[in-house]
Amino acid sequence: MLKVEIDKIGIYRNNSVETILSNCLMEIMPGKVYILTGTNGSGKSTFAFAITGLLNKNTHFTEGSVLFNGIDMLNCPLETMQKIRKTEIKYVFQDPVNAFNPLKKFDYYFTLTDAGLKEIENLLDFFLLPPYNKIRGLYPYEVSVGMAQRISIILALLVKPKLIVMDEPNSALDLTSSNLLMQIVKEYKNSSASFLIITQDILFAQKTGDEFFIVENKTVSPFLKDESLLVFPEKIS
Amino acid sequence: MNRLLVLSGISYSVKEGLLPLKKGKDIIKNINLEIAENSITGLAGESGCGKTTLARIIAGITPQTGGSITMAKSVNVQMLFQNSEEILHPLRKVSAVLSDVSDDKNEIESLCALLKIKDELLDRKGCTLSGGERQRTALLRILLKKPGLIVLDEPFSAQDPDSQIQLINLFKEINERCKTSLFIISHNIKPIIELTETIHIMYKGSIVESGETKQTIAKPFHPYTEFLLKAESYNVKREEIKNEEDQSGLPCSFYSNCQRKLPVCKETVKTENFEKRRVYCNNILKTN
Repeated sequence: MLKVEIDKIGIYRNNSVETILSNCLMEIMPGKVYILTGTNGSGKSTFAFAITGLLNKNTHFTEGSVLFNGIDMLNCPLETMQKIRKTEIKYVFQDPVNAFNPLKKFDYYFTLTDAGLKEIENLLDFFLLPPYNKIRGLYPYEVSVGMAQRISIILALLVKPKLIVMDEPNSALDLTSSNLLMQIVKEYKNSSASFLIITQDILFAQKTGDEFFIVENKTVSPFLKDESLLVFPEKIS
Repeated sequence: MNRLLVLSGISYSVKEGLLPLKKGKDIIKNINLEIAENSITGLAGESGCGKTTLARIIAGITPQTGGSITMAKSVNVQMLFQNSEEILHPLRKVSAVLSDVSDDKNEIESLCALLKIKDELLDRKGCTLSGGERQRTALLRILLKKPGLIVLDEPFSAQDPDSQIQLINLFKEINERCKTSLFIISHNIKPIIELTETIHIMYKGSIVESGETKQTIAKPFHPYTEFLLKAESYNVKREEIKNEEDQSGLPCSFYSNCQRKLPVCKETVKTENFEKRRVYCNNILKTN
């Protein structure tokens, strides 16, 4: 579905270029959950931005190819890109409050998804949120970070995309909501949606993921569930 | 063990609206806890349960609206805030910030060694420091005050697992070398288990269970502690949770989601003390 063969991701800095990541290979298939992990500042978000065409072309460059069902994500026209972003690939940002336009109420975003009221109500209730008639009239700055994060996850789920990329979704969620997120990811996976989840919560990763990738030494490489990277949860549980 | 600080019946409520007779909304209610000298205490609970409010009351930043705090002697209490971007002046040099507190060069040097802060960092401005560097610099400034108690609000948030382990070891060293008590707040229970001797579990403004950490985690008595540990290992399903209803009038904050509730739970909550544990529940299964 999404085939990533990136030779190099770099950034222009002081009249020179600096390599952030190189030789990244990944293939995302339908109905699977992909976990991307790594230490702070290793380039997880940069990689996710690159493969969804969100990197700023004025400051960053990407060499190689990212094919989404045959469409070149790195060089396709803006209109094609916008179409893909609207219905096929959804991105849940790490900072949920700033992901929304502060001057638009939530009903604007819910209307954009073309989803039925029943579906909206079901997902709101699933994530322990107030009913739609209360949520729709609120501005993004009127809700807590955890609530904004749950709403942006719901908005991504409502359009039933082929791929949802989530950047550290559980850093803004409390434990209960993280449990719910895991449950809903598994449900949507069974209806053949794919997920790419960036997380540092190793237990969440182990329990949710099918395929695992780590960003390390300026590259993205696959690893097995039981590799020694997972020392931390064993040490303290 | 000598007591450093005793909180009895601490509560905090905010008024909604301007009507003088309207009853306030309780953010935290009837908190009783003790902090021992030279100890490490943890407070765990989900976001929005009132942890930070309690921390600010202990640090003397927010005055409580009910109850009292008794201190053994005059204890210097310092607080490390959660938001690392706001704890250092962005445009001042680190050395200038530190010289506000102390001119003792030797002291600063030895604390730099303890906190693994490089000398060159002292010449940099606040805005050029990374989150972790800022946090350690703020800790350095706090330690220069030689506090008897440091309250740390979510020090582990936004840390990857490696840095969490380093931070845990650093706190243990600070506790040993500086002879200061630590009161650590976190929604992430794992580092608290690893680090603390005593743990308090908080839910919606009340402490539901307190005790020796290892014992409490190995054998939780309160239904909420059980729930929290289950959620911690990602075993909670949506079907087990009721969507929040208003339960402000009920004595037990966990009533609507409790699996073991009794009719009496609508009237009162019993406080049970045993084996250094304190549990606020009417239906404890001691045999499990």
